[in-house]
Order: sequence, then structure tokens, then C-alpha cells
Amino acid sequence: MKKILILSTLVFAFACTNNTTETTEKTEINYTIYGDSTMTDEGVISGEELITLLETTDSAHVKVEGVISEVCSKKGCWMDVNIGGDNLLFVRFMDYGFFMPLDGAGTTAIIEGMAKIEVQTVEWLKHKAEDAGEAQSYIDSITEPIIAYSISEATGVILK
Amino acid sequence: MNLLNKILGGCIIASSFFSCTEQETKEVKATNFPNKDSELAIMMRDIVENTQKVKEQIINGKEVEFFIEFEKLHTSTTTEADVRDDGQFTSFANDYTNKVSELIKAETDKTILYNDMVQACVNCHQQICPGPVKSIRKLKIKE
Repeated sequence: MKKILILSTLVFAFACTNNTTETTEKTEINYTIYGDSTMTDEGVISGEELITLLETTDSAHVKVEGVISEVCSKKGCWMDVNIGGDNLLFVRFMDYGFFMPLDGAGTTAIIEGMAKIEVQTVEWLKHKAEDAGEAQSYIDSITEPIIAYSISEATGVILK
Repeated sequence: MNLLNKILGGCIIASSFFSCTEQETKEVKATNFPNKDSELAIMMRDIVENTQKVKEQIINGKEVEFFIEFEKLHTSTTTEADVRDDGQFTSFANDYTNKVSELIKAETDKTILYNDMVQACVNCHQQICPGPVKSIRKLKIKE
């Protein structure tokens, strides 16, 4: 019985010593989910892939990754995401049910929802410019709608 | 003793595997409203929640119940400090609360009055804060 106790002690001592000297690789994955809390990054596509996809179809349910270029400065209720080159993806959130951090610009985001190319009305563009704190002269100069990539009802967003 | 040797051998092997296991930590947070919201913004969310319940009450033929303190529409802090300055918001808010009163008092036509109330929200948001217009329209009862 003594032998068993001694050997057991040695085994655990060995295991503990080994743990403290072993260089263990530690992978930290820190991110925040907004909206659908079950969302994952599985199946994510790049912005360039989204642009290619929307050349052949009117709309597509996607998870697309890009870097946030601008967030609504008042509440975080919309954002523009760079999806390659000068192309921006305009994103709003399902049922106004979640917002982005006001300081989210520059953060990598994965957005899930129905992507399409759609018209942004003059009324909306003026409101967006107001939110962005643009000068009245700039707001007044908005007279034409624009066509833009958009996800107007994102169900979830992951910020990395 | 043979059995003990086997057990000890097993422990040694198991402990060495354990000590070499790569550790992975995941920190995932979930949140919906990461910014400091104004009292009015929070009140609007409460109004949406109350309206959804009232919608169900009307569909199910029950009495409508409001838990919102509507007078706070005129006193709560707002996201934009000057939103009440031109009187437009106050006018829309009064129109909305009148519609709520009509719905509370109504014995019939509750669906029509309910949809009029929701339309009062749409009218205000179209002029002052168009972001949630699409989601507000979803609150209407299909006639």
C-alpha cells in the first residue's frame, strides 16, 4: 500500500511539474455577437465574393466579412462596411433590435442577412448625412438616390 | 500487483497526455445595445414591447392594456437634445397619445384604431427618425 502511495505521489508530481514547464499554446478567440446570439463564423465569405455573387443573383443570404468604415454616430443603428476597393455594404439591423458600438469603425465585422443591391432614397441619404454630422450645405446637395450593396435587415453581427 | 502496475502505468500515460493538451480559450460576449441610450430611446423599446402585446390582445379579442407612462414622451431625455425644439415631436406625440386613448376607450373597430395608432408612430418617425419605420410597420394588424 505504501508503494502505491509513493508511486501515486510521483505520478502526480510528474504531471504537475510537466504542466508548469510545458509550453502550451493558448489560442484566445475574443469576439462579440450582436443580434442572433447563436450566430457563428461558419461559411463566411469575403466582400469580393459577395460582389461576384450579386452579379448573378438579385439577392443572397450570406455571412460576409469586412471592415466597418462608419457607424451611425447617434445610436449605432446603421453602418457602412468596406467590402473591397471603394465598395461599401450598407447595413441595418433586423427590427431595430440591436445596434453597433459608436466607436466600431475600423473593426472587422461578419454580417449575416439577405444581401442585395438596392436604391437608397434621397430622404434616407439626407438622414444618414445628418447622423454623420455633415454640414447643411452637403445635406442640401443630396438630390439623387444611389444604388448600393446592402443588408437592410441583418439578423446578426460578429465583431472581432 | 500486476493490476496495480497497469493502473499506475495508465495514470502516467494519461497525465502526460493531459499535460500536453493545447489550451484554447474562447471569450464570446453577446449584447444588443452597446451604447448609452437616452431615456426616450429606451422608452421607445418599451412602447414596441407594449404594442406587440396589445396587438396580440386585439387579435385574441382581449382587453387592451398599456403599461407605458406616456407623459414621459414630453419629459424624457432624448438622443438629440433639440428634438423637441420646433414643436414637431410634441405634436406627433400628442397625436399618438390621442390615438392610444381612442383605442383604450373603443368598444368596436379596435383593429382599425390600433392600426391608426401604429400609423401615428410611422408618421412621426418618417419625419424625425426614419431608421425604425420598417420595423414599426410590421406591428400593424393585417386587415
